[in-house]
Amino acid sequence: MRIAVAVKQILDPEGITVNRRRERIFINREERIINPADKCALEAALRLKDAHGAEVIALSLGRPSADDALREALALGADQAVLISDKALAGIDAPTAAVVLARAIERLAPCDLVLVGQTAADTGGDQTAGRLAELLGLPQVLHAVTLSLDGERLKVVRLWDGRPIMVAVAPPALIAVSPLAPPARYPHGARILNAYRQMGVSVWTAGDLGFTAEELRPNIESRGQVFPPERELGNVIEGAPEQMAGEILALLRQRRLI
Amino acid sequence: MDFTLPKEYELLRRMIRDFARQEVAPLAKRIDIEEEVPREIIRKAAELGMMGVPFPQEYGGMGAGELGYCILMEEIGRVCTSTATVIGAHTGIGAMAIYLDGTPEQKKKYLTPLARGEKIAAFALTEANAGSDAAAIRTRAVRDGDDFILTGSKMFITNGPIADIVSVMAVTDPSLGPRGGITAFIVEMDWKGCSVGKVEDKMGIRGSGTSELVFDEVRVPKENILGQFGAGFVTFMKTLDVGRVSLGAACLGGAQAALERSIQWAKARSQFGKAIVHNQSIQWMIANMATEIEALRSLVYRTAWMVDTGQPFTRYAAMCKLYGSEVASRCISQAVQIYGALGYSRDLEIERMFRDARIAEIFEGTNEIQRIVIASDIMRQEGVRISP
Amino acid sequence: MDLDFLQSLMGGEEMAAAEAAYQDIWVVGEVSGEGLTPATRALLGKARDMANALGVYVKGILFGAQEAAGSEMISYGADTVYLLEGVGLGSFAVEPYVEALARQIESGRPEIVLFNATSFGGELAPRLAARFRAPLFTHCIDLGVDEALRALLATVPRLGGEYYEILVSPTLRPQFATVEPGVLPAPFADPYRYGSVEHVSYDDLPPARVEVLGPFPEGLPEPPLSRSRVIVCVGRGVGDEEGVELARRLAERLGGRLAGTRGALDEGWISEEQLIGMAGQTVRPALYIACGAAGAIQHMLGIARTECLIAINTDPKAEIFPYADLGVVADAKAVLEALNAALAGGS
Repeated sequence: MRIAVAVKQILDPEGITVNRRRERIFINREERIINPADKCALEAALRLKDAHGAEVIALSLGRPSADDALREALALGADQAVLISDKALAGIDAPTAAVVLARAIERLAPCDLVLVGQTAADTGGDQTAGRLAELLGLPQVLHAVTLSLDGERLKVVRLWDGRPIMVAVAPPALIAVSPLAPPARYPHGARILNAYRQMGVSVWTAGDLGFTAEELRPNIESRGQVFPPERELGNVIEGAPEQMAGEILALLRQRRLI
Repeated sequence: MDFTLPKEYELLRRMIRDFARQEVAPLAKRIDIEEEVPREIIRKAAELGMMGVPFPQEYGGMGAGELGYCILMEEIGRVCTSTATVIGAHTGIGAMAIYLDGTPEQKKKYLTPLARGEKIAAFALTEANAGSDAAAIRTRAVRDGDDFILTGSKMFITNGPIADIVSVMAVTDPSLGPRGGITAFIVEMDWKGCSVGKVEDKMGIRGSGTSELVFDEVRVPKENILGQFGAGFVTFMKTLDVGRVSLGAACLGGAQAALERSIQWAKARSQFGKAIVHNQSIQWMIANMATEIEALRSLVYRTAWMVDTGQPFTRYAAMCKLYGSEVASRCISQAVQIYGALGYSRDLEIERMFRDARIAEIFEGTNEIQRIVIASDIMRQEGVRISP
Repeated sequence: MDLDFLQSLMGGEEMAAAEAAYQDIWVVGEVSGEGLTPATRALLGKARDMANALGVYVKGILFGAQEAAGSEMISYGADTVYLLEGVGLGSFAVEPYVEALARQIESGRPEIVLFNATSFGGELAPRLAARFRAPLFTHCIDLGVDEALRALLATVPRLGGEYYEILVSPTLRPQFATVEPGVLPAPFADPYRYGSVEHVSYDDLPPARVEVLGPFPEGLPEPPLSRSRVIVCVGRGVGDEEGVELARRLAERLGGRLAGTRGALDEGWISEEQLIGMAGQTVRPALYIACGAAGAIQHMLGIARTECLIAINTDPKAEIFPYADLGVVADAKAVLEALNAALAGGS
């Protein structure tokens, strides 16, 4: 079985704070990590590898620093790593990124499964999975939590509007793994060292994949940032329990917490 | 001059830090109260290669050298000194003696399972009458045919209660004294005659078992002589030397934890209408701690680099241990002060860290001995031999 | 004037563009037991506003023979509703639904296609966007139009909603967007609005490739406290075991977990693993409801990164109130009872 896993390197959101009053975003700690949902996807692939044997290929479309993300993937147990990186690819928009990734995946030897994280923790983007599935002509299972191979088919527990259901699909297929799926294992220390010292990461450029600069031009623009209002703290109310319960529920609804 | 850590070590640090924070830290309080580092934690650590960090991969180790080992000890020391001590005695001196002076056969037979964490090691030198005066040990190993009969007892041995394999220093020729009269042996604790004696009830690192080891006419085959016959003194000096660097790293972790907690508290605690971090006295305490920690960090990692690049490091290793233990004690004591009465409460971790830190100035060679080592090394370069 | 002269005046490209223009705003609707989902209604209201600004039509899309829902779409602002029917469109499956909608979009050429950001919308929108090489803005919390560019302005959340970004696609069409349910205002229905409901039949739709086996009864394992989105915390002020049980039930109803302060631990109401604070766990939930907790610093340090803190305490001077988004001076147990009752009532 061959499994391709697309991972994205992001700035750790834990190191970023948003000051609503000053309407500014501060990067307190600049650390790059593998997007958590992508790491869950990697773990799902590795569990299939442990149980049934598989070749796991990690790909990443990103800056040169994404090499570290791929080394981490190798340390976790991936067999091969491909970095798609090029000055020409800097600043491409999400739709184009999906096209580039799809072409890279097609360039690999045929895969039985393509795994990606459902959501990017930095941008909140969650359309790459569906786009990839369409471009690659694959059936899709989104918001996957657990995967298991049952004969020829893959059985997946996935969330549908927050509720877990079971589905089955025959490979080849694309699975988008939820950040609520089991987190990745710890990489073995020796594998960490070997991932850097002995293993290699192939690097593909936009040219290698046959893209022209024109094709990579971004089509989506930003019109700026909007900041939610500052939290208003210290608002105290008093009254009968039923009335208080009503106020609490109103706040929860307003904040979309229920 | 490039001071950046190579990428693989950054990832290694991140893995160990995550492991320490998620797997070890939540258990630290219980480890202290129940006086045991759970086998489960040791197993999990071993599965990730953490019980043999500095040893080559061909012997089941991680292949990360002294640098990787210091990173491990710093990150574990940050969350639980007891766990760091268990690993430290096992890797840093117990198995290390075999790595430094063992034959390829001994390394294959003993170092490999130790590096993999399948067995636990200890280093047995100290006796009731031989602490700083290590040469005064009396445990005897008498030749009997091809074997040696080992009789005596060792005291204050870290990992004593749980060790499977012990590097033991014994007198093989009383007439020769330390130079030529002491030999190191690899002893398996399940051999007839080996037993664990009194287990110490300690102020701190209560999760690390410290005990007496009793050897009652234990038959040790000649294949288990560690290093050169009669040159045990050299073996144990070499081992203790390098062990000091990682002990400094563990102290660095403890000091760092004290600083972080102090900062957290200073930000949160308000008195007289403002967070106490706005008081100069607190600012100075934080600045002093941070400065000492930076100095210690540079010292430890530079010394680790010296070890890994084959340079002489004895003096610097002693400095790591001396300065590290004192910085850790100062920082943790300062943290208690910053926390005030809460720092004295057993509800929080600060008081445990305070109790745990004290031993570092005493074991692995007291700080007084470290000072002698440093001065002797300096004076040797000046052509003066300090009399013992 | 003949066409050739016109063309030479306007330039060939513009003529071609005029012929192939994308126009109208489409809303792909969802239906629940009582007709259109509230999110779909809100989407229609917004679409109507935008269509008025652009001077175009609103068209609704429903799958299956949903006459009543179709009429409802008209009353909420649609001018035309297409009911897509065919073999395979009975219950949701990606392949036939995407194909049918794609064909409809190809023939209808909408400039904007809106979905709810539900699983339904999330399954369809990305595939359609890829098929049309079109932009897609997901989880929008607001929509607007740039009238000069005739473009959709989409406000999307970043960093889990800590801030938002406004995105626009100046040229690519159609523009797809999924909108977060519950963010747009509830619109008014006008039962006298005029519009048409058309049945559109599709044959030869591809079969589904994913089989739905059924609900997963065991449910998912509970995340640890440190990763829980909702936490209900009990302090001494919750009074007794009954109060703790009410808190536990509320936590369950809200899809969260029970936790407690040192006081609760000392009373034996919670276990050590449930302790929040300096001596226990540090948590960062989206919602933290503190029942009968005073707000001692040891506790507060454990919840510094809570997004929404609600505190219930009988003491109006409780230390916790200055840190709460909402402070309620009342008996915690009584409020818990009322909350449970209100939620059980299905409101």
